[in-house]
Amino acid sequence: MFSKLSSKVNFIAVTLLFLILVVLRETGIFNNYVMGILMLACISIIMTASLNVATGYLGQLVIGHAGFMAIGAYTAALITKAFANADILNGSGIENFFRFIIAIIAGGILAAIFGVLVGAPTLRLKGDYLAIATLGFGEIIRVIIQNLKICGGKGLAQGSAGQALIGINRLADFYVVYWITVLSLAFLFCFARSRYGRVLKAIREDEIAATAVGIKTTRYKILAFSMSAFFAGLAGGIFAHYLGTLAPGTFDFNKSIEYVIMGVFGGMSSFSGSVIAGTVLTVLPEALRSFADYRMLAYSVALILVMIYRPQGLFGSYEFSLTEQLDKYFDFTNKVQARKEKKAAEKKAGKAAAGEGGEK
Amino acid sequence: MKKLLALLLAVMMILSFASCGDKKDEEKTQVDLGVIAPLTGSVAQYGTGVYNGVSLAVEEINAAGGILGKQIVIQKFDSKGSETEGVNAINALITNEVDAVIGAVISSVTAAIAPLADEAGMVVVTPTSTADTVTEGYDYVFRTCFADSFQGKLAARYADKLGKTKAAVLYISSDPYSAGLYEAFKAECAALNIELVSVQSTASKDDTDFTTQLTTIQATGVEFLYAPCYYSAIGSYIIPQARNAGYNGIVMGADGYDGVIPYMADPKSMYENVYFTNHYSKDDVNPVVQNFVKSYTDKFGADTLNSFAALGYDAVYMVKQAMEEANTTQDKEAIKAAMADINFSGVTGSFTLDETGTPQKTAALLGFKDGAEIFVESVGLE
Repeated sequence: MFSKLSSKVNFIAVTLLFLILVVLRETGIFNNYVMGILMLACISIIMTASLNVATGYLGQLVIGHAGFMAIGAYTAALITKAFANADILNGSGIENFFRFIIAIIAGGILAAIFGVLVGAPTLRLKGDYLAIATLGFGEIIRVIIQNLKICGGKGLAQGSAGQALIGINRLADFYVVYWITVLSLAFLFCFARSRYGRVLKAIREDEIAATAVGIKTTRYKILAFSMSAFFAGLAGGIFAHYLGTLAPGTFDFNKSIEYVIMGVFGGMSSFSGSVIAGTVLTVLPEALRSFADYRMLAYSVALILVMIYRPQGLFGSYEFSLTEQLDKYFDFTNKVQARKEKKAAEKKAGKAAAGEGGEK
Repeated sequence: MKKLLALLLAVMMILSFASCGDKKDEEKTQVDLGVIAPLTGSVAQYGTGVYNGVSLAVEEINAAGGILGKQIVIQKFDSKGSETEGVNAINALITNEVDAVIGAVISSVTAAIAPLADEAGMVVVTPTSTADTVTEGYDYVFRTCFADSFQGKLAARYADKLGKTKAAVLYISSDPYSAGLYEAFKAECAALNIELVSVQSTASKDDTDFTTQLTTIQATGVEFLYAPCYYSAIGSYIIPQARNAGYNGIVMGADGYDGVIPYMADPKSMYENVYFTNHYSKDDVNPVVQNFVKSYTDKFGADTLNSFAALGYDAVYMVKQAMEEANTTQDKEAIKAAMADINFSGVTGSFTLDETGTPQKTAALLGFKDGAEIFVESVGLE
């Protein structure tokens, strides 16, 4: 499964981080408040990383990402509600886990379908049309949700138009969400490094040249865009099951801009940047709470400073690599390689010795 | 292998240290009161009103010796009117082990924090969230204001009392507050055999042109218009445009009209025959009200004096009374029980709470004369 050394190293690092978080939570050092913020950070990370595929790799400005998030959130919330009403997978532990997973994936799929619907006509055009189309799309989705009776009040049976959808089971468990985030990032990272990712970069750099070498640009653009929408829908589903309440006003233009800011802050085509920006920009306003009235000011100043001194974002297109760092300080890869060779040599020697023994 | 064992032992040691840190149940020497209100953002003026009312009440109570001899300390959290921030705030307040929470201000945020508070057994009193469903099913969540459906019903009853058999409606379809009031009004009209001859709506609360809708309403010859909108639209646009269109009948609204006076156009006589239901009246001769109006104006000026401030003020006194009746500032179960049975009398009226934690109270029916608010009568469902 992990053929490359770096995958092994990363998997171990991610598991270690998870174990540390488990210990911190179970001992009560990280209370519900901190865990809640970490959950929001995970949601921001998925949103920012998914936006990076469309904005960073494909080079298309998307300013309606909250619209896809809203689709995912409402779909997932209504599905878990319907399941609860029909008493399917409505219990504790593993049943809730499956209900949650089914709901958020369904939310993601619907968001991806809308991604194709929005992307298919607009991605054929060159220029900034997608930005405008997604901007409009985000607003349209919000207004439609506002007027759907099924999305208001207590949902399903007894809705009242325009109200917040309440009483969604809060199924989002941090441990599950942590691994969903890890898997999403791994998937997006591999996608970006694959043949598809290279095609996207080619389209971003020069669309005419890409067409000239026989790339079907529209198809790839729609693929990347709908994938980006899928993960936004997934994040929306998690968001719904964390908050337990959805109001259409949450998914407004500002919410979309928030994620664009995170993407730019971290570096447009760096997933490491998405992780750092998603975490920092979610935690920062909370950490600054003690400054009360000045906290939003401090947040803005931090953003402006980054843009002045690192206009390409914190990471630019650089990806942080744990293996590289280990190599730098411990000469890790070579050591592992040497150890492997040594072991192999020992084995050989052992076999040889055994062979000699057999002869006697 | 040895290394792994060492690591495991180290982790176990940390765990055992952490479990030693259990806190003793000590009697606190102060009352921690959490406040969640939108102090910045688009609904900041509501939050500011509530927060001013709360801090005024806390100051008064502390000056008079506190609750059961303990001083109140406020922990203020800005929700910015967002559900996410509201959830962060309630999580923080539960972690900080505050004794009660006042908030949130707008209904969507309260709906988000209510299940969390209820699960954690935290007593929450929302001063101003009027959406019908926010307190339903949550034992620990109470409110100081009446619910939206109550105001819609009152308006229909008032139309009936004036002998109107026909009415028209102009509401904002995308706004939960306005849509909720319209639905309650419609239901009560059906019960009272009042015919809704024209129902007009507008898409956004920021709209400024209502001429088409108002002309249609005028053409039906109706004399009672229910327009549950907000103060800015009513003052600057709806009333002047209605009178221009030749409609001179009654325009009725709800507490969203509070604060309309600075937005009134000339001549002020246009606003006669405009009525609304509100949480209290500044002109009420009740000494409690007059006392509140005076201390508030002295401290914060008259500009922010609205029903939000009065409700925030009352919410603190509700918490105080419940704690005193339960004879504890910390036992949340006892405070909750006392709150459910409360018989409260304050600035916004005298009331008991129903099973959803919503006050059973009367509303003040207010009108306008020469650009000033006048108190018409006290209205209730009985």
